[in-house]
Amino acid sequence: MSGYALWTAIWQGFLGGILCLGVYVSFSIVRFPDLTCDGSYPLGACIVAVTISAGFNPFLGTALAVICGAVAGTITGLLNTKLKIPAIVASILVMLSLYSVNLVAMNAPIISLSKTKTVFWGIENFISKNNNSLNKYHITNIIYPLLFLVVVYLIKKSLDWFLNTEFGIALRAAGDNPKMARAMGINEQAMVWIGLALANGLIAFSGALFAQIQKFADVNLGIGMIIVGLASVFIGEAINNRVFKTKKLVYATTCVILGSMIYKFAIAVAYEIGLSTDYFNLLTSTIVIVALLIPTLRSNILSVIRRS
Amino acid sequence: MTCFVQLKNVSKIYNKGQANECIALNNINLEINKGDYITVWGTNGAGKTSLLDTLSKGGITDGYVFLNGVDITKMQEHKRARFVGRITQNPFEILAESLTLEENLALAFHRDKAYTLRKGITRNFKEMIKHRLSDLKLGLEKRLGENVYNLSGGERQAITILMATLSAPKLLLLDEHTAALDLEKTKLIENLTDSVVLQNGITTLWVTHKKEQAARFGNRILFLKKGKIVKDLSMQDKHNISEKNMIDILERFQLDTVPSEDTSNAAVAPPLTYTINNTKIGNISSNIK
Repeated sequence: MSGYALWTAIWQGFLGGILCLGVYVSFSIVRFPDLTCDGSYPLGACIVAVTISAGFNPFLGTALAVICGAVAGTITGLLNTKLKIPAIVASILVMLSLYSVNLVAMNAPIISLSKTKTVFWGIENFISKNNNSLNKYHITNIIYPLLFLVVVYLIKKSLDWFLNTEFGIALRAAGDNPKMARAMGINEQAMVWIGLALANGLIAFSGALFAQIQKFADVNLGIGMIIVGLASVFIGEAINNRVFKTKKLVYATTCVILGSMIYKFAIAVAYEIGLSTDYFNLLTSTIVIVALLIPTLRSNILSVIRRS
Repeated sequence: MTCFVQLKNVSKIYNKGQANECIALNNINLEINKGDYITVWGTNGAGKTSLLDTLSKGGITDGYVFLNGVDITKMQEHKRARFVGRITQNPFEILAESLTLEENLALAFHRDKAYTLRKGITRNFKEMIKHRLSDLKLGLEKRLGENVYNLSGGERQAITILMATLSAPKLLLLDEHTAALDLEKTKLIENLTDSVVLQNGITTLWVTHKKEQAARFGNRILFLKKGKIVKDLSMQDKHNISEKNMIDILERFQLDTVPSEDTSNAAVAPPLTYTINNTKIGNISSNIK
């Protein structure tokens, strides 16, 4: 396998890490089976595509995408807590509605951003100016990975900070034990809205960045994204339990990003050995199952060894 | 003058109007004064927990609940938490398993305050809870960063008492909080509870089905039976009756037998200062119907 594919997997893992942190917040912190992800990821891409195509500042467009994602998450939370719709159904409803929202917003299934000014415009400009002295591909493969490393690191750091504030601890308690949260004066319903807003904001941000780096937005971008996120979260949890053996948040969030990188790496390996892209969703599901089975498999194997 | 807590014609009926209707609280009137340290005694299904639910959760079928003269009948549970602390038999009902000891304590500390974006665990806070934990003499001050899941049952219950009192609640509700502990740990938790309540002068309702606890602790005792308060003895009464006699009386209540005239006279000779349900021990059975 070429070093190039490995490298690409790593830095795509950074980018995907943002999505995975969002999924981590909804599944592991708020403990809400939130499938809104499949809708909020393309929502981020579509909002940014529509706004920057209309000539908006790309940073403003990205911010708007994050806000729209957060709103989508809040709606899921409200459907669940106020209208008492089961969590999965509420999130599927929002996910489904977002498909239409995205189509209407874009007015087309795909928007190309190849000639539009994105948040990466500055870097692209720099590359094209130094085209003679530097190899364009090398620059792309050093600057972008570094940039995404910084972005994902900043997001991880701010998430760690947030979850350790008074409010963050309350959010975690509400996800862990709603009964306890109420007894501690926490409005656990509001915590669901805020937690899902944060999660889907991050997911939409990931979608917005993806659209700008790949230079297109597609309404079908989100299909299976939740499983991609979950695969990374579960791989991360398996690493955390095996390697760090701690429940500290700092490690948990790091492991989610590591999980994202390992997932992308596994996909890259599959691609390298010539597996057709048709199999990728099947592969993703298999990865999730294996990641979930690791603790059980291990103890089973151990017990077999001890018995013999 | 209005009293601290007032329950007015409070009823709680499960499955109202259905075949399996169940009356948990039957038209209860109760006045609790500031500083009352009440043990609530009754058999299973007497409505003890429902009585505490009325104060900490709400959801009653009928009637009103007042705190300091303010109607709190329809107040949401998390808003009540600002002034009510509750400890139950299962400490995990008020502990978050995946959080560390210090994080759980931080939540308890902020119960009556707003949750802000300030750092959750500050150095000052750590010092403060280290001091409070060392008072428990369980060595927990060295285990601040551990998950509460690692603590033993007695340690968890000690923590919940500390948590309930960390933000100085106006009302402390204890719901058979020693029921799941062994004899030694029960003593530890009983004494800890007693000292915490007396030191801070917290108005307390201590629900128990153990006669010894009901007799020994507190300065007022409520006897609950089938959703009604059948007896309410004040501090004076409690003082005049020896612990042994009190256990005796409680036993008779449990067996539904009427004590002889002599004992009942000795037991309720002093005037009942907090009389609500002015029934003599002699006519309990009529009262139930």
